[in-house]
Amino acid sequence: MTPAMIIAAINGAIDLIGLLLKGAQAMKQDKEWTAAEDKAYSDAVERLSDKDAWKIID
Amino acid sequence: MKPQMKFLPVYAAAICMLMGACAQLQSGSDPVVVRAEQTQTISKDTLDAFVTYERNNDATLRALNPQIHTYANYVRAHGQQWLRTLQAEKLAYKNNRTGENKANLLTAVAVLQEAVKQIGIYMSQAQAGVH
Repeated sequence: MTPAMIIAAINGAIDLIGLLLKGAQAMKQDKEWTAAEDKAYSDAVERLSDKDAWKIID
Repeated sequence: MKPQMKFLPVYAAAICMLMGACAQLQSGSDPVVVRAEQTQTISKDTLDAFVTYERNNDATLRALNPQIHTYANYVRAHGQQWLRTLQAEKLAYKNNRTGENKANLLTAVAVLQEAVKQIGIYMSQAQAGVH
């Protein structure tokens, strides 16, 4: 394994651990979202298509 | 990039377990709405992580299983709409808690849960291909 691959693996692990923690946090939700939280979510969904990773290329 | 594949199936499996877990809800909160919102949060993050991971490891994953790329593009084409639909159905249900609106909301939840499940399956296949 090259140093670049090791760094990529570490970065990937950190990213995914972060996602897991966010998932665990989501499951702790104990009340309905506020209007502000609804808007923040909708805005985040709309921003997804701005990301390069969401653009379809073949 | 190949080593990252070892982590995504673990994530997918953990997310599936998390989606079955439930927190004690505050009184006055509708469990249908809260579970839908939990699905919204987890599925948005999972779809985003999947397409990002697939893009960053495109060549390796295509070699392992071309269907992973096909599914990633399917998510890119429809994922935002699935998330928008879930949000819209949730708000419709909150505004008018009829049986029909509840059924529509649960259907939107199921669509995204299925997508998260499918991502877990593909990433498990990717992992199997690596070892």
